[in-house]
Amino acid sequence: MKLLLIEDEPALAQSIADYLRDDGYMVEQAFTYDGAAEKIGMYQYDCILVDIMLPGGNGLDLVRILKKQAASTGILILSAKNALDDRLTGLELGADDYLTKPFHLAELNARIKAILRRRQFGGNLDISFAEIRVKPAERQVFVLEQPVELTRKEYDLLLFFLANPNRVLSREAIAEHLWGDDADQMDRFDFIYSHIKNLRKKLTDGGASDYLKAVYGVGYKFTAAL
Amino acid sequence: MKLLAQTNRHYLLISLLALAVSSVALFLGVRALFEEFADERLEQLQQEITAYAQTHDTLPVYFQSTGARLTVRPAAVYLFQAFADTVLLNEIEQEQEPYRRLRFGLQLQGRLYQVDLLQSALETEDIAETVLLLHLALMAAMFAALFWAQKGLSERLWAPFYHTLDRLRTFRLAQQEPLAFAATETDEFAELNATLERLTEKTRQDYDALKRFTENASHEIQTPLAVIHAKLDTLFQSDNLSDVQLAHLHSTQQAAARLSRLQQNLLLLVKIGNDQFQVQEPLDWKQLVESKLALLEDFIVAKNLHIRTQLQSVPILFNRFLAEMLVSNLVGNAVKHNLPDGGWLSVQLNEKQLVVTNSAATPIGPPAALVERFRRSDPQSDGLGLGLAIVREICEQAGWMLEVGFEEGAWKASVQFYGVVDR
Repeated sequence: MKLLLIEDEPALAQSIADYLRDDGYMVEQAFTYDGAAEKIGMYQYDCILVDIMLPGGNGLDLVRILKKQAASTGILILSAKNALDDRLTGLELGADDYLTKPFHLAELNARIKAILRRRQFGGNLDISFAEIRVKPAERQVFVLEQPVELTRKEYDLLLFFLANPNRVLSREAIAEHLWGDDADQMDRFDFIYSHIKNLRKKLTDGGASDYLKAVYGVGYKFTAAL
Repeated sequence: MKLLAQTNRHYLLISLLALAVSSVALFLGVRALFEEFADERLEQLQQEITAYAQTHDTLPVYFQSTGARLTVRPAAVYLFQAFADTVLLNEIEQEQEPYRRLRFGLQLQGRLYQVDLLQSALETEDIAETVLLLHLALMAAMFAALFWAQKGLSERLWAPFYHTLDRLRTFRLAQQEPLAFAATETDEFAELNATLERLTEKTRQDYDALKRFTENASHEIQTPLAVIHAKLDTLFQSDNLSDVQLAHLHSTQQAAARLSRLQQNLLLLVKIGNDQFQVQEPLDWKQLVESKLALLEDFIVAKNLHIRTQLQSVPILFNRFLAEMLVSNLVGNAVKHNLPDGGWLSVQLNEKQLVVTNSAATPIGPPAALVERFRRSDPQSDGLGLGLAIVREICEQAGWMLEVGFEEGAWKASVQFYGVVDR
């Protein structure tokens, strides 16, 4: 999978690129509007991550160009501006998703995966991890090909882990993924704990190994490694 | 009291005073003048009588025809002439009438007499009174005419001032256009308008600059925060971190998360104040409330809250983002600041109002103060203290009325949708 990251802040761009490369993506970078326009004109990408405020131009214009040239490319807008207008304009122009800075890299990764699934396989690609299989279109989960009933939160949690296997996911990132802006509600970590406990129980009851590892003081990690 | 009313009141007082003083002076003056005439006439009569008496040693007989009355009485001593006011009975009308009297001594045929010459003063009084009444009537008419003329004139002269006042009243710091006043020919008002234009324009521009600064500063803060978040996420993936190092990283991440939430909410407040959310659409507020309650299900179940809802499906035209924010903050607060176990929460919605009531522990300090920025009911809370401030800002922009209060163990927040339309 080939991605183009258009972000003018070098430190942020580097972290994003490193994180995504670790996941097996080919990541190319552009730091200015002109540089990005040139790359879009010359190469094909599966998904483009574009910042709105760029040196030399507006990222939304890049979205316009891209929709004309390569309609199948997924577009994820990254912006420091939480302005609703930008969000609406972006989505109306054909962007697939919109992420406001600052964001967790795990969240970004999950969003990219969702876009690629939708774009490339019409959402029909199953997600598999060892004996666990998820059908995203039907929101169904199978362990050893037997269906497992999960609550909405448990399902969201599982998908978030599957998008970021072998990564430490902090409780903050999980809380924000599950509850969004309401993540500042008190006791949220207790809820994460109970959702994780329930998810783990349902998966292992179905016959899966226990892949959910607690990382002391930080969060959790979904991994097959010991 | 209005300036015009004040001027008029002073004007009226001074006029009345002048009227009173001039009337008294006029009355006294006219009376004195006529008395003088009467006295002169009496003196003249006396001289004639004295002259006649000296020549003929008796009183003149034609005297009665002069209109004055004469009485002669024997006297013990010779009297010098003396004027006096007196009254005599009018036998026909049975009334006391005023008279001017000149008394003098006379020697006739070797004997001394006291002679009183009496001249009626009735005419004098009558004339003085008539003059006084005429004066009062004329003056009153003149004052009334002047009063109305002056009132009309003042109203016209002061019209630009009241116009300026009206314009000032509508002035809002956040308005886009400079405040413009009507042109006036009065120098003072023109100067006032020019000064006010300068002043309001400066204030408006300063406010605008401040807003832009806040917005830009917020945006600038976003990027470094994003870098911090990304680097922390990357650090977490390192394999060889000790528990202590992880704990430090985790605290750092929490602080950074709090900082970005703070920054986003402040930016939101600025944007609401700037009226940047203008796109409106008819929204199903019932659905907004229900989806928010669904999102908070975890917290509601954990606190064992009893939910009561009375929701009417009302399409209220509003900005979607702001509506979500308003419902989210009110309902979110009601869950968050509820009792730890077994409390209740009620949401009422109709076309007039949205009311959120919930059981809660007694708040520290007055509830109304919680709508201020950075006010929290519980200082230990990890909340930002901006939730209600945002709700208030939204309501102010919409011209709605927000009321919060605490009574009988329940916290209540209500938004009256069309309560305050005037803005």
